[in-house]
Amino acid sequence: MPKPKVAFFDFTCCEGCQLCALDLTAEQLLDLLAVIDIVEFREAISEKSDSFDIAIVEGSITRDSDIPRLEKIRKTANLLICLGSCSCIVGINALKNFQKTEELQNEVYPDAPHRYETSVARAVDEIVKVDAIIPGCPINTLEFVKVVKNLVLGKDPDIPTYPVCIECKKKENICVYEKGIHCLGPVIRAGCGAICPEKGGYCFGCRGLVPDPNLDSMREIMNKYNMPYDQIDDRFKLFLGRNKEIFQDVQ
Amino acid sequence: MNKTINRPFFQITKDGMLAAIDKMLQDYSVAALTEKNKNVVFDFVKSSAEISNVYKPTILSPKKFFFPQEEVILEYTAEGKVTAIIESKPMVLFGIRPCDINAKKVMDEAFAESNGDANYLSKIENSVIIGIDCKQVCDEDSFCYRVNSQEVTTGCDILLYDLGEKYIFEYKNEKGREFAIKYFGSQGSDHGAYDKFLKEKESNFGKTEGPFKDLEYLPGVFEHTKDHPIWEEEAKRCLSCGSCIMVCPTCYCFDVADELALNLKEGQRLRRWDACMLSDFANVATGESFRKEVSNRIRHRMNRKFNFLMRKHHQPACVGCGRCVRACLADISPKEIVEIITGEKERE
Ligand code: SF4
Ligand code: SF4
Ligand code: SF4
Ligand code: SF4
Ligand code: SF4
Repeated sequence: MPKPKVAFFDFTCCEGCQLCALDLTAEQLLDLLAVIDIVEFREAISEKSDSFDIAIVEGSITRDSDIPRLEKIRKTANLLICLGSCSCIVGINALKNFQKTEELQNEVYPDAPHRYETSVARAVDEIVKVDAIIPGCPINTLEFVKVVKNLVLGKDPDIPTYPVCIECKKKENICVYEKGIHCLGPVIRAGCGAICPEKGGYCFGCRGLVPDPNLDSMREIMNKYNMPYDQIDDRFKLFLGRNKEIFQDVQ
Repeated sequence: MNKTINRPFFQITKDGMLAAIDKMLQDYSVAALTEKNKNVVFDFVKSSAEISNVYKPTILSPKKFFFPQEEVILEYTAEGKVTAIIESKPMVLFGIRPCDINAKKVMDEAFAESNGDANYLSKIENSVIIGIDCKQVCDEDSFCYRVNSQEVTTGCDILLYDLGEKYIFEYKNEKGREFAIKYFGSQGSDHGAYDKFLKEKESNFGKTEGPFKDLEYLPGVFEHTKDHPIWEEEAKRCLSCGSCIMVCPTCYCFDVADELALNLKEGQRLRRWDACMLSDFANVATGESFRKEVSNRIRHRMNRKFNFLMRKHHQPACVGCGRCVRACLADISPKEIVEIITGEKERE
């Protein structure tokens, strides 16, 4: 079986997930390269390629002029994988959707606002068909390897559909709600190992919602733990600003 | 049930017990209640000094030692070589409480069914289980007294009773007898000490609400609750987060997955805790789900505890440890559900 050619592309993002993707031991990297050929990867190699089987796309789409490039990638690739929150759910980039475009342009280039081309920040799957997602801000390297491996083997990508609480409980962490901290873990997709609550923080929701979240109950619980309703939406906004179930009225 | 006739009791001082634990540490891994990251958990200790004196209900029950969160059960190679992995080491589980002992009975029976589960059973065989009786209810979320699981008959090898300055103990089987003689000595205790403990325990538990109304008939009662409004009511609040299942000492569902190594030459078969409260649990390969509605999942979970498994194991499969009540952010409690179903209480 010929090795599939894999190309990485980035749009609006910090490129941190690309770095995480190859944060492997030398041995793991060699194993990975035994299974796939990397033909385009700005963070690690300089070749450019027009022929690839799997496209791994990082970043949100924030300029209409990026759409043809994304569409070309989609057309060339057999499989398109979203890498990281920016590309899967827009994540932090969606914060700008809450502001007027002119305001943003004036803030970034006060002297020449029109030079800053920007539109609504969108997830990749709002523009083209997506075959698999690797969520997280940043991604979990081992999950990246697993998804790529499963796809190469023709299997389901197999990322968790259950929430962060499952991983938290398995690790026997004290739930941060007991300390009066409001955590989004019950409605957020696991796969990170509940790293934030484990390390003394709380889940911000970077991996996106689980497939069937009970948002009404989540809000009521946060409110029961003394968080006013308007602050609850702020907590959701950091990573879930593009979620239409939570923020219906945003452009 | 608690008659003392023909039950020999022995005693050991508290200091004697600490020395005994240090002695057994030379021959066994010892798991006991200990502090870890400001949390009280059952974990392996290196010396008796690490053991916590005060009992506080733990997030996970000691089932994790016999049925771990994740376990490799098989290794295979691309050439087709398959090796079963059955890991167990000689261990002592020290200080497990009556609710968890009764939960272990359910697990022991479940994993012994048909051919028996070698991974679970070998760990049990290699272990000595030292229980410790409770003299009073441990906190406000526990409800062992509603299902009589504060009472221990079998399920451990040795049972301790804390008398303040010393322990008295009895062994429950031959394994316990041999172990006790070797590590705790065989200084006899008169029945008076036990009777005193029992009297205090009965007086403390006598102040609780006692067993559920119609406790032994619950399987029959639950048969007629298919359309009870409570399932829909609870479902509105339930997050389907699965926390209740993770922490339950009698939940034994697992998922099995093959993980091929990245080199594609070898792989492992893993089993991991799964949870019937999760939306994907009842999905089948053809894409349907048996229990798509949250209300169905809650009903199923409660029927497992008080109907199906209660018939099978002749005891409620909920031991009232209260772990799920503490874990559930939506305040869903099996105790409350049973009380409403039996008509003992009304919704507040
Ligand atoms: S800390 Fe957060 S993720 Fe962990 S159990 Fe509590 S709510 Fe769930
Ligand atoms: S705990 Fe939440 S915020 Fe933290 S990495 Fe996991 S999903 Fe992201
Ligand atoms: S729930 Fe009952 S049996 Fe279990 S530890 Fe608490 S008091 Fe003891
Ligand atoms: S812990 Fe509570 S909210 Fe979570 S699945 Fe169980 S009953 Fe539902
Ligand atoms: S259902 Fe809840 S109270 Fe009953 S045994 Fe399980 S965790 Fe304990």
